[in-house]
Amino acid sequence: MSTASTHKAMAWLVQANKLAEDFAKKHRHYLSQTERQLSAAFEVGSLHALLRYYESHDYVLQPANLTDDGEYRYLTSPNGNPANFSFVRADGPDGDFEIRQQVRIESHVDKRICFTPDIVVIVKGADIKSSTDRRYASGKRPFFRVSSSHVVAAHECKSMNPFPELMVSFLGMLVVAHEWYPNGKTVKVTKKSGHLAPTLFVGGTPRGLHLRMITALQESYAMNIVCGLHEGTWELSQVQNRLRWQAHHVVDELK
Amino acid sequence: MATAREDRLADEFLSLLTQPMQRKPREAVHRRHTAMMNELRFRRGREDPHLNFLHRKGWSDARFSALFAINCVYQEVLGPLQASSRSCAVGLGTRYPIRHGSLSFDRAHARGVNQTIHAFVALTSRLGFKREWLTRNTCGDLLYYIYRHEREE
Repeated sequence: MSTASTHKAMAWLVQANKLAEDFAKKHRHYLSQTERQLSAAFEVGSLHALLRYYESHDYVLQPANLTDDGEYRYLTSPNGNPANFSFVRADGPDGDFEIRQQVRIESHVDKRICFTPDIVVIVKGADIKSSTDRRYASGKRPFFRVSSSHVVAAHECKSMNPFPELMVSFLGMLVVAHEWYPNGKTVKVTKKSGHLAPTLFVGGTPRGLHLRMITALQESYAMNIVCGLHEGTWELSQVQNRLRWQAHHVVDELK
Repeated sequence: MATAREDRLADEFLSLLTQPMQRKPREAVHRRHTAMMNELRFRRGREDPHLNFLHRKGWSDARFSALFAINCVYQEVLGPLQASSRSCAVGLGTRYPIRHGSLSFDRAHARGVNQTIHAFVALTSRLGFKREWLTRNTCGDLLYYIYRHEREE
């Protein structure tokens, strides 16, 4: 490299450092967020995207169980009693539902399989069971959970770059969190209007091979993988798989 | 090849950006940056044609390092924050502030985050980097998009 270009490169670096220093000083507050705050921010962003999707698909949304100050009290851990936290009501053409956060699911596969997706859509008034078990918090705290038979869709939020193992592992949640999967009568998989099928929200941008894999997974399973949310892919109208809940039809048929 | 002073200034760029960060996010940024720099060295060793082209166009290791730093800070810290600042149809986060443990996601939060993102994009642009480079995954992805950009130029 010539002396002139070395000087130019050095001048660029000095200027870059000055700009970085000014930026870091001025925006210190947001740069100094904790890991937990960043994870919460991404989850909140995914919830926003989901709610906008519901609103554009003929569901009437209403925040419920707000605090006296009108705040939405977000359940941040499955240890909390869901009854004490806010949720969003979604009343639509196929029934009334609740969109909740951090509600533990008890799987139909086996009651010992319990886990907590980031966001879950359940039928309105689904029974949230509570019991104590000495194997959980030494029996001192109730173990809250909802049966997977009430789950319309469980969604997971990952603020990271997509990679094949992450995408494939979401299939586990599809299988154990949804009693309707794969052939249940309570749900009809559709490409038209309806609930967002179980979805993995990913912050990072996919590469070509990832996109190919996502297409294949979505064609093979009733699920969606939405990537690039950091970048601004917040419009979910293009998602492939949707669901219509038809539990009431099943009940009618039984009558 | 970069001089020792160039290397030092490039390291300083990353340190200045991450200095206000908490330990875990800072470690995540540095880890990602190290991985990208390692990939850059690996590709140089393999005589990567895109990289050779970019070197001829004046892309030094120090400049790559600065771009990787910008990319890492966005991916690990600012991207997730930006996610929470978008408007929500039913007024969550605006009319109804979201109380998430000790955190609050409300209008003031969204405004502050948007100002920070705006300033970061301006910084990116001042350095001659394109906005979409913020969201690329790996060193290889970035090299490809920079190569494409430089070739079109």
